[in-house]
Amino acid sequence: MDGERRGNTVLQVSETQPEDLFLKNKEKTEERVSVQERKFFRDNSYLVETRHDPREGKAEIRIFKNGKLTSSKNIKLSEQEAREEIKRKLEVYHRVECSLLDSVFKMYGKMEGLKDGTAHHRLGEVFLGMELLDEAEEQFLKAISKAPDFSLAYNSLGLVYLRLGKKDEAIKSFEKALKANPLYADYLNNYGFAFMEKKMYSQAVQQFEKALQINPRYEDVYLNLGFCYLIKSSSADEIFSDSNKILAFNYFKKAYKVGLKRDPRIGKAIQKARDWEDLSRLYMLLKSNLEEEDSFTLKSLCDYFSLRFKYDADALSERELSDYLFLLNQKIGDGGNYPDLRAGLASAYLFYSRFLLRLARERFLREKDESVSLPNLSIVEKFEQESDDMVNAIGP
Amino acid sequence: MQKEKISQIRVWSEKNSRTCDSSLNSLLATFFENLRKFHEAFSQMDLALAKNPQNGNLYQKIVWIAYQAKRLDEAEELLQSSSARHPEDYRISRAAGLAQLLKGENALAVKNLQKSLELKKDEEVTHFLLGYSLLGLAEKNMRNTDSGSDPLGSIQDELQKAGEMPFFKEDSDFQEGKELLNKGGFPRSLDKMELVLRRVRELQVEPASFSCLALSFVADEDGIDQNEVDCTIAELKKKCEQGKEYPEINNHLGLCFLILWRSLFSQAQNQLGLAVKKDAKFQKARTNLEIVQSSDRRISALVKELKF
Repeated sequence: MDGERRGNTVLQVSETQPEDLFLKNKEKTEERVSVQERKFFRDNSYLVETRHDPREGKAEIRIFKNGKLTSSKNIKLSEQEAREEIKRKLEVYHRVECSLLDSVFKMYGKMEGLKDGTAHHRLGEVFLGMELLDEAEEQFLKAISKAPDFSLAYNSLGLVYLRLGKKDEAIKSFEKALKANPLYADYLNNYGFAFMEKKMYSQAVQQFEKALQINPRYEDVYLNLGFCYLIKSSSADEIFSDSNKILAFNYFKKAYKVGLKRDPRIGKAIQKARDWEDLSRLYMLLKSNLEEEDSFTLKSLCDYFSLRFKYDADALSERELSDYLFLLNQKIGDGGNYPDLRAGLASAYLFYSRFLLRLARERFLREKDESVSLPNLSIVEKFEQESDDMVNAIGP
Repeated sequence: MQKEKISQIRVWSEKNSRTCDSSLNSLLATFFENLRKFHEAFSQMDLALAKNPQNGNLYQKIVWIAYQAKRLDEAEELLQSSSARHPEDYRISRAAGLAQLLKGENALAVKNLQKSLELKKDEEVTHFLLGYSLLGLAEKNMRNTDSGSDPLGSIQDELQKAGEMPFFKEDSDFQEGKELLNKGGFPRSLDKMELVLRRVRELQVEPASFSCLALSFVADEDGIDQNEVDCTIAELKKKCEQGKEYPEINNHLGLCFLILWRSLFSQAQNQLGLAVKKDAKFQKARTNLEIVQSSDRRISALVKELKF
């Protein structure tokens, strides 16, 4: 109840025009642009800040919870966008982030009475994508309480614990996930990573090797394995004088080979690698390459929207959907050729298209010539029925 | 318009124009008119009227097309026979008035337009046509030094009534024509009003962009460009703001939204197809694709029943 009351406050705050909040530091030779919006939920204050600093050459969205920075996401802007359209672009990204924050809080209230563990898990993943770890933990725990064998929820909870630095709890969570589903390469990789964080490299290597048996093209695992061997090696000698360094080098090469993204800097770094320092640099390049490819946040957004399609369809606004379509199309346009993103995009198109049926119906109702409007209205009704049936059949 | 699209619509027209709904013949007429193929446009209107002689909206259109095809006599014949069948339809007598006006028979035009106003008062476009016919008549009389009665008051009166419509209020030629008339410049006022007449005709029928879009959609549901639909919707909405004389505009806007809906539907199918192509084991995407494809088949059958 308290959450709902606070939720209303959130809406009032979000009605403020972002343009009014633009801060321009005119004293500087280059103009820094930032927009901020504060929201309240369950005794917590959340500040969304979207900013562009030309001196740093980057745009980003940051979320602060109770004054503490929780997440920071870079916004990819082309040179032209950064030059000409920065204010408009920032407004769009800012609006999308704020509207997402509003909607997850609203969904939070709506989910209380549900017995659907998957739904809590999906909401938790959005919180995790925003690095709101307490909220994510709460949702994953609820998911587990409603579906005790839900391996995905244990895995996600483990990721939260890892980010909170609770390594032992993370290990326990991954163990529970693997108990429920032992053949999932992701869980084994995360389990291994938790050991890696605890500097228990032999145990980590064991888990990574198991993961590769299930998925021999798992880029992250090769990278993690390489890191384990690199850290075990001495930093003094050349690569080929030490078996650990040779193993690390081979795993890094393999990671690049199975990875989707080609980067000439990495190809060059592989050719020139001679010693421990070169290998460390290669690891850093591969790691940043992998992070750029990461689509976790967007995938969690796809899952979240499919959740809303199921439980919150009537409250979904056209703008929310078109913003969601904008993000998905942009990721796919940037080369994110992931099948699950495309499936998410397809569902979004099908949902969005229902607004168009509504608009068509409104126009036919206004048409005075009944010889055309009545048959067309009857056909639109059939389209609406067909569309509803299809969306229900597709499901979240 | 792209050559490919033109030839696609032409092929469709050859195959279907005899059997299709009259509204599609009317759209084909606009399509051919836009290509300046006035005789083909006239034939399509002839077909449309033969299939649906009760639709008064079609008459205004055939008159203008007949004028461009220099076949006004045929149009007038059609109008006379229809007028006998539907004496109560104000649109037929107005179209007859327009045909006579375009032939330069202003006195006859005035009679028909007055009759149309008796059948339906407060039709701004009819008031304009009547004002314009009277203006032409006054100008002729001046040239023939036939003093007659002073027509200025009646012309001003008709144009004043026409001016109630937002379209005329915002038209600079109409406003200038009225001012010239007040100053007694009949011939120059007539020139201005002739420009307005051409735009009035455009206001009364669907834009060429809609006819092309609708016909492309009928000929090939999947080959629609979203930008084209967006532009047509914007054009139709602008027309809506201008006036009330385009009777099926809401139906056409509704159809545009349906065309956009189909386009998104195709995109959803494409995305699912690409997801399955990229990952053949992606069972959920495969199942969803099957659901969407099966739904698409049922929807395609219904699309054929839409009234354009």
